[in-house]
Formats: sequence, structure tokens, C-alpha cells
Amino acid sequence: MLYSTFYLGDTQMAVPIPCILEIGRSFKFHPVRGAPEVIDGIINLRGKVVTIVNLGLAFEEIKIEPSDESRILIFKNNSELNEVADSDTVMETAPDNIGIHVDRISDVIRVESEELQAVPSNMVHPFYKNVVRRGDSFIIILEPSKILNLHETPDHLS
Amino acid sequence: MNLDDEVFKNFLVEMGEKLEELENGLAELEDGFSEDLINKLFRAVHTIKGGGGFFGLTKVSELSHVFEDVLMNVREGKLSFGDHMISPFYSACDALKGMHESDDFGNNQDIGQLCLELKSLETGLKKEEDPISELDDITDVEPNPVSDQTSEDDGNSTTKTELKKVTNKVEVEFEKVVLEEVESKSKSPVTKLSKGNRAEKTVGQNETIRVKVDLLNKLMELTGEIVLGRNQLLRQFADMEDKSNLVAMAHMISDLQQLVLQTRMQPIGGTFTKFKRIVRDLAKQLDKPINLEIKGEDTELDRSIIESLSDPLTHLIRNCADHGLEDPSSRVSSGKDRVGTVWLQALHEGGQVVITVEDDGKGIDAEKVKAKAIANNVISQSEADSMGENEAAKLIFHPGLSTAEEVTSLSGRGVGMDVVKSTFEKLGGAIDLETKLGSGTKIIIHLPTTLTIMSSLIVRIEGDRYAVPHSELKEVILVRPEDEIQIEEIRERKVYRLRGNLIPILSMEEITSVSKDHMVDNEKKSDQKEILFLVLHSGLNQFGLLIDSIDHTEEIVVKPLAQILSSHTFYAGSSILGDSDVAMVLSANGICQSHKLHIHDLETSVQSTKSLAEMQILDMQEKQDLLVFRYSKNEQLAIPLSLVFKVEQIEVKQIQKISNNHFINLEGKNILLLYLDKYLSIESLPDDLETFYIITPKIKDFEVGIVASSIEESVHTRLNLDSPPINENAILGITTIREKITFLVDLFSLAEQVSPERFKRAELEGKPEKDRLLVVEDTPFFRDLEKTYFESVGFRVTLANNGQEALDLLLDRPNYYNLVVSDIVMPVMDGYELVKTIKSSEKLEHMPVIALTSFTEEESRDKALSAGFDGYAIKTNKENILRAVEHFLIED
Repeated sequence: MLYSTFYLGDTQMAVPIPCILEIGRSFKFHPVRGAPEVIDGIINLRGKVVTIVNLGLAFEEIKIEPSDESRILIFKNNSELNEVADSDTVMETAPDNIGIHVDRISDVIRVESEELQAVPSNMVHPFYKNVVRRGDSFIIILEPSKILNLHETPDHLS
Repeated sequence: MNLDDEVFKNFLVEMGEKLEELENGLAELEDGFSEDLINKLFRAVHTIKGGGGFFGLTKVSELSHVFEDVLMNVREGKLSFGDHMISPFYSACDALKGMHESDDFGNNQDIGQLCLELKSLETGLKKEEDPISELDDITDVEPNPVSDQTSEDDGNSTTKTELKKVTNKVEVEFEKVVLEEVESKSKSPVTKLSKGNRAEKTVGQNETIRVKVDLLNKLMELTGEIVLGRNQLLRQFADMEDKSNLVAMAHMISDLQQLVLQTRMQPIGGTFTKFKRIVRDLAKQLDKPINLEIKGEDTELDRSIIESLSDPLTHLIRNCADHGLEDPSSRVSSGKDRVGTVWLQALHEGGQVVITVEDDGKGIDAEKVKAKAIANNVISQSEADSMGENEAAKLIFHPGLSTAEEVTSLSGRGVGMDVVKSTFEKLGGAIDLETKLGSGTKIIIHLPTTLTIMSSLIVRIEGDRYAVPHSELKEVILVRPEDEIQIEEIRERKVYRLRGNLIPILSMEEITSVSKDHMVDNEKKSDQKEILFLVLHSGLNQFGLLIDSIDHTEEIVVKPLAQILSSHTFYAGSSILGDSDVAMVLSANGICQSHKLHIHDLETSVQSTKSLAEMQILDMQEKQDLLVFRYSKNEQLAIPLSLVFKVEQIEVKQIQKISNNHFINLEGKNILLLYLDKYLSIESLPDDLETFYIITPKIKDFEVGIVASSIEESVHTRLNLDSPPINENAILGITTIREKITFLVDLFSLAEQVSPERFKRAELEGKPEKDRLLVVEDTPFFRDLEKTYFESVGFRVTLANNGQEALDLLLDRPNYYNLVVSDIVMPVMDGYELVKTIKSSEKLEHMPVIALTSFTEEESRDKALSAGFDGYAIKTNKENILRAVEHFLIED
């Protein structure tokens, strides 16, 4: 399975490529007044309205500000995901197209299922699914359905 | 049955449709018999029978066969129709419905009783040669190779002729059946809803075609996108010279959009008709005669909305029948008709569909509801006390309440009133109710006609753009500082008097609970600036939304909010505007939901403070601009803003004392400071102040600075002064501002006290010949004030309360008065009318008339002069008034 990796600060994270619709550079966010801070705003993606989640704030860390290196990873919605028949992995994103705003993008990596390790007990987080080792460092594999459905984990939307 | 799965599925769908036709037809049959109806019913049952037989649904086939027989006999006139037939018909229909929905399609069901019931209807049948039944008998039997043998064996010629007869009959009957099928296909009015996944739509009168709903949905979405694309193109090429092609296409796209919208629109009538059956059953079950009146069946709604309506409407109607309508004897003893009525109506109103369910039953007992609400901790006792009848009745929609209601087998079923409410709200609608104890209840439902493309107003609020659907927008109001009616505050909430109704005025800040730093600092200038707001409505509620400006109108596709944002119900969704920018779409219904308490709160709190009469009087009195300030710590003072030249802040150390007076040097001038406690019996200034305020009045030759410890605010308010019998020359009266008692300072008498030589009014030399004034003024305070002014300088004053009184006095003695001094805003006849009447009357046209008002703007002056007034003066400016009067009387 191919994964797209990106950085949140110094931590490298990854999400499965089949979940991603596209990765974009600069978008003009339209802030949604009254929405929780973790929502950067909404954007117009060729006619679709996509809600953008600030990854930094989602992890309750520093807010990611738009920069030359920051990117938005836009995920497919659940029905788009199901259009592509992939029987061996069950993936879920969200009912609507949501994007995450990240610090910078990194390489695409291939990870075999044997390489996926469980998240060490001292690092457990609702958004983490697995970890995988690459060289000296670890890459955290995120669970898209968790990070894209923040309304289901109420603390994150305070 | 394998390869014919698709075919079988199709039949099931068709059977469903036929059953619905059957049921609706039976409902109509109850209202009146017609041949046409019986034919319709017959064809429906016939189709079911045919298919049932073909697909091996034995019981379906059997039952419909017996049913069909009876119908046919009636159809052919062999059996006369009677009302007693309706019940068994309904039973048969229900049974068939049950079979349609069951797993084995009723193949194991016992229908003996039913068949017997139906057959018994045929007593009294005129026996005749019945070719069809004979035919059926024959076709039930397995086809035998008898025919072949017989034709060869000449000996059995009777069988042969029998067979021939039968074959002929088969042909004849077959033709008949085929013809009927064709007829039924072309004549059936195809406007009913079907369960399952196919939709029928009439194109023209006779032709219909089946289309998958999914396809229609996709068509709608795509059309929406095309509309957006068109809008973008139009904007992009707005300045092009020759864009006739684009414009032509734009028009076609509009037409396309209209048509596509129509494909999804269905008349609500289909859903309504089935309620007849429901009401009929209810009437029986409850032993109450009930009459259901339906109006507006042609009203069209988006298909998806209609589907969701059925359940909640059923619940509402059941409620009316069960809880609303009383039993016949109670009704009669209270003077009502024995038969209770339920009205079900749908109509279009301003871009929305309004559905009402009304009954003439006993109404909702507000006290009982309140008691239950208090018992269930939904509201507190004090909240209950301040609730009106309708407001209390609306508590039944509260989730905490519905479950406590008695759950009868009819209206219970886990579909509480709160579910009804949320169903409508999910569709973007609103529900309201009106009730009167003893007379009945009316439930009003507002629904958007279509979910997607909406004509909207794009507005700017504090830097962001928002879309407001036209269907929720009532009007746009601009409040200018000089307008009579302004936005007022009651208990710190902004309100506005819109044609007699008090509506709350909300801001985005209040709605979203997020404040924004925006560039224009509105705060300080709020009284002087123009205020723009939209009047939005949700159900029967209205409110105002403050906006900065209006951009334009646009047709937008409302895209639903992502789930992550769905809790913010004040947004209906988001949309992409013609210039590719995104904008949030506001939802009046959503805003009302979150603010609903506020709106009701407001109404009741206002009611409790003023009676209607008082409010009417207030309406007629004018408003003054006052500058409110403090001298001592606790007392509040005010002076008319029209008399204020400047207000400045100074530091204590700038003050210089010379002999017994205090001065300050401002812009090169030496200003004498006035300490008010010297002239009024008020407390002295606080000792610890480092900065003061100096108010410089706009009075000629009166260069002083009135010292104030703080400036509170400037208000635009009705002056309701009391004149307590205190001996204070320098006070015009006492009023209440922001619930604090405020002294209104009389600057003129203050000036007189300060420098009597300069300001004491010289007595007029001699007695002027012309000294009879008619003063027309409705506000008691000003009437007295003016009378005092004029009499103090030697004029004789007659008073009139309004234009009409003045006119009467004038016509009575046309040459007695020398000058009319009149207010403008008065009841019965206002100043403008008065002056017009005077100037156009032969007897009175010579009479000079001066206008006296509180308005200081130039436009008001011009307006008065062009209306016919000879002069104009400002009420609180004594100087000004007297000068104007003198001008007319003395320098003549």
C-alpha cells in the first residue's frame, strides 16, 4: 500500500494514498464564523465545497499557518472511496470531502502489511492507527476516519 | 423464477402502484360513486390478479379474482353499489397490501374468510350468462391435449363445438382484456407517488415514462453546476461587446433549470388523499364522526420533501382526531356541530409552501401543558408565568414533554411531537401553532419548495459575505438617524417597531457567539450612522439581522454543510458564488431555533411594561436628542444635544482660578467654567477627579463651559418629563434614562442666572397690537413650556391639542388670532395637514403659521417651509422660538 507522508512539526505522519483525492498548494480559505477554531475554513475545489481542518489544532498543538511549504491534503468522501473496488483493505474517510492543512509534504512510501506495527502504549492517540519504521525514524500512520470526523470526538471541537 | 427476477421485481413495483391506486380509489368511492371510479378499481385489481397468477402468487391471485368479480358485476350494472361494500373492499385491499409486503407473498395465508365476505356482497346478483366466469373456470384447468384428439375424432363433435365456443369466447375476452390493459395504461392519471425505486412522470397528458429517481437526482445536481458555470461566465464576460451567444445560452440554461426542477416537483395531493382513509378509520376507532376537508392538492413540492411529509402529517392528523376533537356528545353540549372537522391545506406563499392542519376541537390547555412542563423540569415556574397561551402550547414540541403525554394506540408509537418538529426542521422548514381553548388548534408548517437552487441576496456582514435565501427574506430596512422609529433597547436587547410589531434585532456576533474586529468602529457613532438590517422570517416569527451592505442577488446552489459543521444550525449550508468565492448560506429557521427563547422573552417582557394605549401615545410624541452626563457621582443630568456646541476633556491642572471664578484656556479663548452645584441643588463634584469634561453650549453670547465629571451617552428618546414641585429654576423637568432619574437642565434660565444683565428677557416695549397666539402641541410638557415662554414675554396664548382642534378654533374666529405656532407630529391632524388646510382656506390663508419641532436637520426645515409654513423654530431653543415669533408679529 502506498502512503503519502507529511510533517506536523518534526513528526512525520502518513495516510493511505487511495484515500486522497488531491494534494493542493495554496487555497483561499473562507473562514466559517462560529465554527470551532480547528476548522481553518472552507474552499472551492472546482465546484465542490471542502472543509479544511488545521492539523496542528486538531492535535491540540500549534496552529499551522499558510506558507510556501504548507499543503492541503483533500480526502475522498465515503462514496468516492467505495467507487474504487479494493476488497483487501477496508477504508473509511468521511461522508463529505474534508481536507487537512499540513506543514509540509514529504515522500510517498510503500509499506507492506507486515511492516505495520502497533502504536506503542506510551504514544496512544485516537488519530493514530499504526507506526512503521523507516531508517532510524518512525512514521505514524493516521486513521483518516478519525481525524476527518472530529465532531465525533467532542473534545476536539471545543 | 431466476432469470425473470428483473421482470418479477418490476411486477412487484407495479403491484405496489396498483394497490395505491386501489386505496386512493376506494377513498374517493366513499365520497361518491361513479362508473369511472369502479372502472379504475377494476383495472387495478385485474392487473394484480393477472400478475399474481403468472408469478405463482396463488393467494394474491385468488383474492383478487374474487374481488375483481364483485367489481365487475357492479361495473356491468348487475350488482348495485352500496356503502356496505366499502368495508370489505378495504379489507381486501389491506390483505393484498399485506401480501405484497410479506416474504411469501401470502402464499400461506388463509383468505377464506375474506373471500366469503366478498362473495356475500354478490347476493342480489342478477344472474345472467356470464362468459367471463365460465372462461376463468376453464383457464384454471391445465390445458389438455383433448382438443387435438377431439378434432380428429369426429364422434365427439359436441366437445369440439363446445371447445370452439370456448375458444371464441377466449379470443373475445382476450381482446377485451388486452384493450382494457391498453386503456388503463393511457388513462390512468399518473401523478401518484410510488414506493420503491421508480418514478413516473406525466409528459403531456397521456404519456408517461419511467425514470430511475437516481438519474433525476444526478440531473438536478448537474443542472445546478451548469447554472453556476453560467453565472461565472456571465460575470467573466460582462464587459464584452458581443455576447449575444452567451446570453442566448444563458436563457436556455434558465429554461433547462426550470424544467429539471419540475421533474422533481410533485403535487402534494397524492399524499393527502390517503389521509381520507386514515380519518375514516380513526372515526370508526374513536367513535367520533370526523369530516376531513382537503384543499390545495395541486400544490407542488420537491419529491424528496413529500416523501418525508407523510409520517409527521399522519401523526398530526391522528392527534387532531384523538386529542383535539371531543366526543360527539360533548361537542353538542358545548354548542358545536356533532361532526368534528379537520382541515388539511397546502398553499404557496412567498417561495415557501405552507401546510396547515386545523381542527375545531377543544384546543390545547395551556395551563395543563405548563404544569406538565414544570413537573418535568422543562421550564421554571417564573418562565411559565410569563408565557402567553400560544407560547405555552408550543411546549408540546419539546422533547421532554411529548413522551409524557398519554400514549394511546393511535398517536403514540414513538412518533412524538418533537420528532414531528425535527423532521420539518431537517427539511429546512418550521412549525408553529395557534390554539384557543374550546375552539380548536391550528398547526402551521412552512417548507421550502425546493432544496437546492435558491434565489438569494448576497450581503456583507463585518467583512464576510453571506447568502440569504429570498424565501426567508421579508424586507430590507434602512434606519436613518432622522427617522421617527429607531432601533431601541429593552433590557439590553435591540428591538425595532415594525408596523406595530416589536421584532428583535440580532447581529452575527450574537448568533455565532464570535465577535470580530472589524475596521469601521461603529460603537461610538451608533446613533449618528445609518443602520441597515434584513427582516427575516421563520414560520410565524420575524426578526432583524444587522448587515453592513447588500452586494447583489444571485441564484445559488445550497450545498449542505459537512458533518463536522452540522451542529451550527444557523447556517443552511454553503455555496459557491458567481465569482468563485465561497459564502455561507444563512438559515432563518436555524437562527430562530437557537434564539427562539429570546424572541418570546422579548414579546412578553414588552407586554408587561407598557399597555397598548400607552404605547400609542408614545408613538405620537417626538423624540429628542439628549446629551446625558454626570456631575456628582450619583446624579444624572441631560441637556438637549441641539444646544451643545462642543464637548472636551480637560485636566484639572488646566483650570485657573481668578477671583471667585474658574477659567480655562481653550484654543486661545478664556472660557468661564460653570459648576452646576452652584445653581442647582445637586451634590458636588467628586474630589479625586483628574480629568473633567467641558460642555460648551450653543447659545449666543454665552461662552461658558459646563463642567461634568463624566459623559454618559447621547440618546435619542421620547421626552416624557415630569415637573415635580421643586423650586429649581434651572431644571426643565425630570425624566428617566436607562432606568436612572435624569434632570433636564434649562440652559436658558441657567444663562439668565449666570449673567442676568445679558440674558434677562427685556419686556416688550408697550403692548404689541398683535399678541394673540394659537399654540398647537400634543405633548403636554411642551404645551406648558411654550405657554410659559410666550406668556412670560407678554403674549396671550390659546392652546390646542392637535391640528383638528386648532382648525376648529381658527374657523370659529378667523380674525382673532395673529399667529399660529404649531408642532408637526400630532395625532388626528398633523402640522403639515394643518398648514395645508389653513393656506388653502379662503378665510384663513392670511394667517401666518410657524412650525415648531425637535428636528434640527436642514432637510426638516426645508420640508416644513415647502409644506407651507412661514417660519420654523426648534422647540428647546427658547431664543430661537421667540425670535421667530417676533419676526412675524412685530416686524410686520
